[in-house]
Amino acid sequence: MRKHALKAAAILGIILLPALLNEPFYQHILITAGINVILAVSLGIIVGYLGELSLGHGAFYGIGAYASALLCLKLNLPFAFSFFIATFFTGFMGYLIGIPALRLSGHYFAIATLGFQGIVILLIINLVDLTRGPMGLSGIPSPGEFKLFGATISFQDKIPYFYLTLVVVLVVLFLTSNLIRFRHGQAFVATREDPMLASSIGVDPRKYRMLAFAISTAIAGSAGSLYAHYALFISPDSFHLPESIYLATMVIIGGRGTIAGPVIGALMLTLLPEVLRFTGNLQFVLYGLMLMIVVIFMPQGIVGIFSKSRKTEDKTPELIDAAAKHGTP
Amino acid sequence: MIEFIPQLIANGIVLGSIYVLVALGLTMVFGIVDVVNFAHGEFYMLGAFVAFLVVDHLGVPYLPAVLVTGVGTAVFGFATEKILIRPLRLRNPHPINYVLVTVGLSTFLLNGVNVLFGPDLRKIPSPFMKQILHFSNVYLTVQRLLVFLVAVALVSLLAYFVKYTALGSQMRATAQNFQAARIVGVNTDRVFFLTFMIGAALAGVAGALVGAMFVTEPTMGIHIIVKAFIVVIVGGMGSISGSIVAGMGLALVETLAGAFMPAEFLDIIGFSLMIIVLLTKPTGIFGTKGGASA
Repeated sequence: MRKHALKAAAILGIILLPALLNEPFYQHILITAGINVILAVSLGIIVGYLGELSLGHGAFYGIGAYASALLCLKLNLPFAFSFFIATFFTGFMGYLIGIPALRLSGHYFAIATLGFQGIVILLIINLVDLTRGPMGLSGIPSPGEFKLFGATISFQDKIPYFYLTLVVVLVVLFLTSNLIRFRHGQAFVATREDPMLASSIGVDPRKYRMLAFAISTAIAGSAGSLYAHYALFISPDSFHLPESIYLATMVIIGGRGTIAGPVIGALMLTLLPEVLRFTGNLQFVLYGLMLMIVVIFMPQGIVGIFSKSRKTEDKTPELIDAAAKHGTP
Repeated sequence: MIEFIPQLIANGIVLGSIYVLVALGLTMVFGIVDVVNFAHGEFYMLGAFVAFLVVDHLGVPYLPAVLVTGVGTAVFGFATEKILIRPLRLRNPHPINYVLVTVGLSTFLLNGVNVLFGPDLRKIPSPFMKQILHFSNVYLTVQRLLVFLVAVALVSLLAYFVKYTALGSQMRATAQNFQAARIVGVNTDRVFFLTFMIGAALAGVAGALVGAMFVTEPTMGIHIIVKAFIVVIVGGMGSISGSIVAGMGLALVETLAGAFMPAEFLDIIGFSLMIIVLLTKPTGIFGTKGGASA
């Protein structure tokens, strides 16, 4: 009960946030934080459920952004359509990339996603007719406006856009936290904990790895769409390897294998750059240092500090049982 | 067009020498320590900056400065193994932890050098840049010849070391079977930091050579590491001869094809080739089944 009350209070607090922070600058940070939370949580699925590190998540973010922007610019589709099409398209691309990439694991998966990241950025830079290359796409339309009780609400304003982002954040959090409660959910965890054992009871690990990867990349695509229609200008620089590394840093510093971890990591790494802006490039030195320290000394990240006192029980056996019920073909 | 081909081949061999020097360290560290070092490009970048400082600020002549650079980056490789890699090996040796910690190191070093020295393009003063040799219609600066000669010397030395010395056999034993090597009394800890030192020194020397030929700047490591990954994957992770063949091959293809098509498309082909090899033959085209081979 207490947990639910806390959750409700947190959500209420977040909903009231823009009212408290009425400077456009703060509202801008809130929206950026929301987009980063979506990205980090989606990368957290790959790190947490697959136990792999993707160095190409920025590329999927970029695919979503470019797909959504181009659908609006070239086909004049409204935002609602381009948002969903971009999300599905990115997930589909993730699925296609997953077919080869998920045959690999560990170092090899990281290197393959690094290669994919390079290919996507090179394609964006070189398909000048479509993407305008390094100059970037400008003039991306805002999601428009609607009338509510006689007042016109435009998404060009920051507060409505914050709520739009918030809705996506909440849907993504709901989906992710319930991933293991869905019909095939436990199969994910079983696959991560012990792929051999999982496959011995009829859970096809590849199928679940593919599914998790496609879901994760689709969510990254939706973040891309949100970003494109907020910034109204996108260029390849926003989606390059440093972005992928930045996202991975969020997940790891926050705490992998949890949902709270990437959320905390994303909020931290959105706020820190604003606080440390005066230090210039020194902040990136700090992020590199933080990443090294966290990986070596606190592999569970910030979340690990709080949950240390709680006893973590090994849930693998029950999850395997549960997976066996659903996973049998 | 035809008359340029000898010149292009000469340029390709020089570029290939650099690829090989950088890729060798990456492939050995993978084969022996089982770590993919994403900060390996930063060793190369540090090498260029160390050489720049030694020549420009201390007034040391270029060739001794290259030697100092090799020693300096070796010490750095030693520190990396002791401070970052060893604790992980003892506590949490999951491959993605090694990837993360070396990605962190790479970010740290790249931006650290950027903060200290700024993003300016520098050039290490080398007397060999001004001397030009020509053989019929092929023109080369002595610097380029030096790059090739240093690469040949270091690669031969390394091959001899790995094949004929006691430490070299210990390295190969560790690469083949870490547990068995320990059982027969190989000091694997020493093998690990030694491998890191050799890899870092090779990359550092390559950086010192390139920093005089092209430019010295903080992001130079990122550009080379991508090429080194392609070379190492195609040549086979852990295979020294594979890296030599793949490094030379990639550089020759790049310089020859680069005369006919934009470099970006070549990079796309390089990345695609890497992914295809990863999928079809993860041990590489020339790789044996795991482990380092001379």
